[in-house]
Parts: sequence; C-alpha cells; structure tokens
Amino acid sequence: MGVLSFNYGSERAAKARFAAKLDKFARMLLGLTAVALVLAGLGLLYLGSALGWVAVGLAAVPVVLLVWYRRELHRLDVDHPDSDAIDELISSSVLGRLPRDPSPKDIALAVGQVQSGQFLAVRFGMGARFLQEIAADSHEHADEVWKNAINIRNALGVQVISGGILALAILQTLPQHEELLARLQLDMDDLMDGVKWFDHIYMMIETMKKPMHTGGIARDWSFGFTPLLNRFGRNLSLSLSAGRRMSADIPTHEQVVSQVIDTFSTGGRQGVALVGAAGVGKTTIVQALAERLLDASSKVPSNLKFRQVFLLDSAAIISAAPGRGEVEELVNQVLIEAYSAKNVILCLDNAHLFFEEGIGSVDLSNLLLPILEAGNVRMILTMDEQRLLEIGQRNPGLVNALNRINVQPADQAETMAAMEDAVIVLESQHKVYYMYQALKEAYRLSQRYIYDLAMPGQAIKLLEMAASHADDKFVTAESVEKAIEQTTGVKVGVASVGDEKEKLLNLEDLIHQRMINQVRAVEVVSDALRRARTGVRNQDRPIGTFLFLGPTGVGKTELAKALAEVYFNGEDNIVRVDLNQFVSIDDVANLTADGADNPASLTAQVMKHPFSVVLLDEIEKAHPNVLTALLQVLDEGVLRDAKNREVSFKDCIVIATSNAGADRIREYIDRGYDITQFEDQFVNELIDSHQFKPEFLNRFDEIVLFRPLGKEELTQVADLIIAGVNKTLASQKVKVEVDPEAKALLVEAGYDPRLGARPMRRVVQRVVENQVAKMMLAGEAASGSVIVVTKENVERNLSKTNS
Amino acid sequence: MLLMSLFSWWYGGGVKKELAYLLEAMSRSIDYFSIGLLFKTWFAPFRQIDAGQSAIAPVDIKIRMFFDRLVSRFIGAFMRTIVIIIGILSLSVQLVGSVLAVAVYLLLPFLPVIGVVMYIVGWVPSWAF
Repeated sequence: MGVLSFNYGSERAAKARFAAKLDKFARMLLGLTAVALVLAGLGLLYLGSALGWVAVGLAAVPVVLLVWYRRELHRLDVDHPDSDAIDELISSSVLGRLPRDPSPKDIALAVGQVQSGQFLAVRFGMGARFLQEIAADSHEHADEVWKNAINIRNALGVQVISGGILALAILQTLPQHEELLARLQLDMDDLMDGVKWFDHIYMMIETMKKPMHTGGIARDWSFGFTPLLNRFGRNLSLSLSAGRRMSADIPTHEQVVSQVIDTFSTGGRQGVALVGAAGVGKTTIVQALAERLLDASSKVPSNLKFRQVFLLDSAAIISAAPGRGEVEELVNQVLIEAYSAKNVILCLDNAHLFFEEGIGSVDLSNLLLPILEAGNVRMILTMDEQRLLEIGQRNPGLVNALNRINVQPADQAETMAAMEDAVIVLESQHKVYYMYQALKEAYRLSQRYIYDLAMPGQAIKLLEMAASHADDKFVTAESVEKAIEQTTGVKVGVASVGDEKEKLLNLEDLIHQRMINQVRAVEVVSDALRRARTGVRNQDRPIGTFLFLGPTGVGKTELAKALAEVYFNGEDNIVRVDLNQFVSIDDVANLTADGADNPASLTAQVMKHPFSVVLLDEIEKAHPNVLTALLQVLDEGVLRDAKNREVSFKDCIVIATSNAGADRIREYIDRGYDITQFEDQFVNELIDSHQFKPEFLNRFDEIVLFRPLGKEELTQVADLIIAGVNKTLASQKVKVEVDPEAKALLVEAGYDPRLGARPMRRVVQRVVENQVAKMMLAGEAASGSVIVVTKENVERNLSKTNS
Repeated sequence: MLLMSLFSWWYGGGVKKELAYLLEAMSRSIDYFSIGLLFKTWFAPFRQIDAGQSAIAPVDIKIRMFFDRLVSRFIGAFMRTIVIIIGILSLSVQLVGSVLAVAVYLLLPFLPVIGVVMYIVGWVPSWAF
C-alpha cells in the first residue's frame, strides 16, 4: 500500500455527495414532482395542448434520479478494492458527508450521521459527541485515520470502509485508547466484532427482502392431505413460507442440519435422534432443516426437496384422546397420514414425552418402534442425553433404530453470534436496546449461574431476564448483573455503591458487634470478602475456604452466622451441614442428592442459595469419603449432584469447624503460648495423629485457631446476650439493666473453660429472662419500665435453680 | 460530471441491474406456477388419495382404490393442465411486459427530449370516442 490519498473531486465522491443530498424528503419531493408532472401533462393533452408532452417528458427526470438512487447511489460499490485512493474504499454514506480536506473531527461528524456509526454508538456507548471530542482537529492527522482504517478493513477481510471502521480508526489515533476502552469494559476486538455485527444484520435484512422460492402452488399436489397433522402438529415449513427466519445458523447447527439431510437422503433407518442438553438449539436445528428443504435454491437431494416438517404436539394429542388406547389409535392414524402424504418429516420435540407414562406424556414405544425400524416415515426425535439413556434402558431396540446425532453446546464465538441475532427479536418484544457489553456479560454470567441449560440458550435466557432491568431502555452489563443478583441473590458486580463499600471497609467492626475476640478469624474472613467484592480474587474457587479449630462455645459457628447476617443478607443465607450425620460411606450420596429427593442435601441447598456461607460443622466426625468428596468444593468450587449437574460454590464462603485437638489448644494457652506461636505445630499434630489428611488441610485458604474465652471476654459475651434480650423486649418497651456486681456474678456462674460461652447463655436465660417473665406476669413491669437486675436477684435465682 | 456518471451507469451497470430485476421477477413467476413440476407430475393422483394402503387390502378394495386413484389422476391432470395454461399465458405476458420495460428503461433519459420534439410537432391525441 502506497501513500493514501483522499480525492474530493473523484467521480465516486461526487456521486456520494449527490446521494447524500437526496435524503428522504428530497426523494419524496421527486416522487411527488414526477406524479404531478405526469398528471399535469395528461391533463394538458386532454385539453388539446401539446405542452402536455413536455410535462410528461420532464416527469422522466425525477424518475431517472430516483431509479439511479435506489439502484446505485444509496450504496456505491467498491470497484477498485486495491486502490490507493481512500475515496474509492469508504462507504458512500460517509464519503458523501466529508468536506474537501477532512480533519479527524470532520470524519467523526460524518460517522455520527450514518447508520453504521450510530450502531456503534448505541451498542457500545460511543456516541458521536464522544468521537468528536477525542478526534483531532488538524487536517494532517487524517492520514493516520485512513491508515488505521485500511488496517482494520484488512483485518476484518471486508471491502468497504464503513462508518464503524472509521470510528475505530479515529479511536486508534488516541495513544491511550486501550485504557479508554477498558473503562467501557471493551477492547478493540469487541469493537471489530461490533462492525461485523452491523454488516451481518445488514446482510440478513437484504437476504430477507429477497423472497424465497418455495416450490409454487402445485408443490404439494402430488402429496396427500394432512388434516390430522395440521390439527395435532405445527407445520414449520408452512410458517416459513411467509418469510425466512430472522437468524443465521451457527456453524455447529449447519453441520448438524447437513448430517440430518445426509441421513434422510440415504436408504436405511429414517429416524434421527438429535441428542443435546436443553438450550443447545435442537428445535432451532429442526427449523433450519425445514427452511433448507423448502428453499428451492438450496442444495438438497431431490427426494428431500420441499418435504415438510411437522412438529407433533403431545399435549394436543393426549387431550384429544383421553380414553385408554385412544392415544395409540390417534397417533397410529397420524402416522398413517404422514406415510400416505409422502412429503412429511415428523418431529417429536422433547421425544421423552412419547416414551414414558406420566402427566402430559404417554408411552408409545410399541407403536413407534416398528415404524422407526421399518423406516417408512422420516422422523426426528429431540431429547437430552439422560432421557435417551433412560429410554434405551427401557427399550434398547428403540435407541438402535435411531441414527444418533449429537448437538454440542455452542462455543463463545457461536454463542455471541446467536445472541446478536436473538437480540433483534428480543428488542422488538421488550422495546429495549441491548448493548454489546450486556451480551458479553450474559455469556460470562450465564455459564456460572444459569443451570439446566446449555449454550447458546443459557446466555439468551439471561439476556431475556435482563430486559426487565433495562436502564433508560438500554440493557447494559449492569442490567445483566442485576438480573442475576435478583434471581440468585449473588452479588456479581464489583462493590461500588457507598453503603456496600462502607460495610466492606468496616466488616470487622460489624462482625464484632456480635462476636467477642477471635480477631484473626474475623480478619481473614473479612479480607476474603473484600477481595471477592473488588474482583481481585480467583473466580474459579469459592470466595474463601476456612477451617476453624477450637474448643466448643468459642464462636466458630457464631462467626459464620454473624457473617451471614452482616453480609449475606441474613442468617437464612447460611447453608449448614452437620457432618456428624455423615459418618458412613453411604452418606456421601446424601451430600449430593437431587433436590427433588432430598432438599437438605448440600448441593440442593447451595443450588438454592448460591451466595451464602456454607458451614460444615464438626468436620472431624465425617466419613473420610465425605471429606474426599468435599475436596473438589474446596479446590475448584464445584460439586456434581446426583443428576450430574455442576453446582457452583464459587460465590460461597466455605467454613468448616472442628473441635479436634481442643484440649491441646487449651493446654498451649494455659502454658502461656500465644495462638500464632503454636499454630503450625498444632496443625502438624493433627496430621500426625491422623485426624485429618494433609491433602485435606492443604485445600483451605486459612486454618484459624480459636482461643478459649477468658472471664473478661465472657463479660463481653454477657453484655451481648443481655443486649439480645433487650432487643427481644424492645417491642414491649421494656428494658433490662444488669448491675456490674450482678454481671460479675453471672460471669462467675457461667464460666466453664471447657464449654466456652454456652453455659453463659444458659445462666442468663435462667436468671435474667426468668425474672423478667415473672415480673411482667405480676404486672410489675409495664411498658416503658426498666427492670434492674441486682446482685441479690442473681444470687436468689441461682440458689433456686441450684437447689 | 454527474450527468456523464448518470448516463454511463444507466446504459452500463443500470441495464444489467434492470435485466437482473426482470429475470428475478420471471424466476419468481416460474417458481409460483411450478410449470416444470406440473409437467413432471401431470398424471399423478391429486393429493395422493388412499395412497400406500393397497399392499394388503382385499381385491374389491384394491379395485375400488384403483378407480379412486384413476379419478384422482383425472382431477389432477385437469387441474394441472389449467394451471399450466394460465402459467404459460402469464409468463408470456410477463415476458412481453419485460421487453417493454427494457425499452422504456432505455428510452427514459430521453423522454424530456422526446416530449419537447412532440411539443414542437404539435400532435395531440384525440380523446373523442
């Protein structure tokens, strides 16, 4: 490529400028002028004036101009793609708006006025003003824009330099453009994808404008009538006769369609099983097949051309034939009709509905098997792998009679392409605009949070959910995040709101409002959450995995509860599994049981609450196989349930607690050691005594030792418990105050170094709560009164309970 | 320059596009009437009445089906003949129309000149019937 030049006076540029002048209004005026001249001319001729010929003749001028515009000017071809003259390569819509010696600012202005530029503005949030602000005003910089545009055009493999390409070229002239794009959560590849997206939509609209040749009025005359099929099925081909589908097929789907055609065009078994998870696009493939068979211009074997695809409706069949044996009779008639018609391909969507007894389903295996084996009627059955296995288990012959074709989930590029097509329909349905960032985010988040669906359906479902969270009619990445946050409760965005930031920064203080001491444990948990909410953590593991070791009653479980209350929207979002119930090898199955069978299983609970604190209590009591099963949770943040679904723990904090070695901790403390001094040694002792395997302990982010509570700390615990009592009594406007001497007595009575804070709670319950209850019943504590608990009260109550 | 551009396109690429449009319209009509298919299936039964049930039927039913199908073939042949005739006529008219359209297309840029010439000639059609 030599030196690029912009020739304002070139023929192409002149044509483009003329086309730009012929805007909608000018074209309408030309049309009206033509009509008026013809009418005036005919009128004059009628009146006998030969001047009418001139008027009729002049009407040709606007007509010629309109024809020229429609057929050439509105989109000038690139006749010299290897030219060094940039005006030969730029799209005519931009070219017509450029001045004689354009600066980058002029180019940006022109780009903002054309569809491809506006498309980028809407989809990426890069409006015309933004481009003009970043574009240089000096004419010398235009060369750099042209060079960038040529490079982008070559990278995309297109002929025309569109407005979108020029927008990118202007952006690239900025040295810090990568940083600028990063702020919009974008990179250059995304923008290039956006240019391709616009071209794709343009091409698709052009294709849709062309009518499809579908065989004409006599197409079906040699084939049979299908009244039953019309009643109990949906003729996909008939709906396509009205117009093409508003989507292009992704390569995976095209491949499968070709495989189906190959199967049907050869002899032998004429049953095809499309096997793939829900959401991979099995029904879309059937529609694509119907379209290809109906399109006279497509390359399809003659024995398949214009064959019609009927989607059989199981619900309609079952409701029309309620009696015993009636369904079989009806389906038999439908099959005879399909066979007689000779041009029918039957599709049993969700085929398991035809092979199992149940509500909305019926077992027709015996009826369908001979037909599938004989290959008299072409049939497509769609189902997922699990259903196929189940059907195969019950009726192996049925599976053998089918040609199995696997439909693989779409990869990222294919999913993006499918989403780009899907948003056209979604936008018209929901009256919103989807930004490109929303599509990217939908792909990323749906992989993680949308269960029971595969790509691309997984991502498209999330896009649909995000429509109701549109901000000012625009569906952004934040809208997608909000959709996930609302349906799963997981906080997927980065903490940015003031309240949340404050909460995260002061997490330790908030937790300590209900936790006494254990500073290190509170600190490590808080750090993990801060890392998660700022996007610093490893996304492929749980937010944090901690093993809390220490004697009973020192706050291990309490910390998990406090964390759930402070940050995970309440104690309800704690998934608690008492591992003392998982002591045998058979209990491993209970850990991963399907939610329908056992809603209390770990996988079922986490599926319901993906953003939660998972508390694995008394882990030392679990069977070793249970701990082995949990290794994957700690390592990769996933666990497969009984149905082989991957349940994500990646938005959970996993806390395991254990009393193992509690006596040793107390011993160390009594000998005057600080916890940090003997932590490593203690963990080694646990491994040496075979209480835990090293590979298990190694999986935790932190192993935290909880120290036994001293009397001073127990006084603070007493304050917390009394504060709790006051909170309960707040609705009755009654307050309890405990004298310092009384409190000291309570602490003395509640102190047991082996049992931690638990006896303290029991003592408060016995002494304080009982006294309050009695006083309220005796009418001694009315609303607004303060009940003071004195030393004497405590002594009296304690002596009563002791006696 | 624009006038030259207009004329060079009108009688170059423009003619090709005009022909392409007309051919596409013809192709649509051919597809609509499906005359080739009608010829191929001229005597085939119309809408396949009772097709495919004859293999194991008793003789009397087979005979009845044979006559059913014979009637169906006659109906089919009649229908197809009608459509073939209508189709051929329509396509012929369309072909003539297309030739005229090409002629009008070629003359269109000169219509103002022709109009002026006709004005100078002074002839006007007589509207009296």
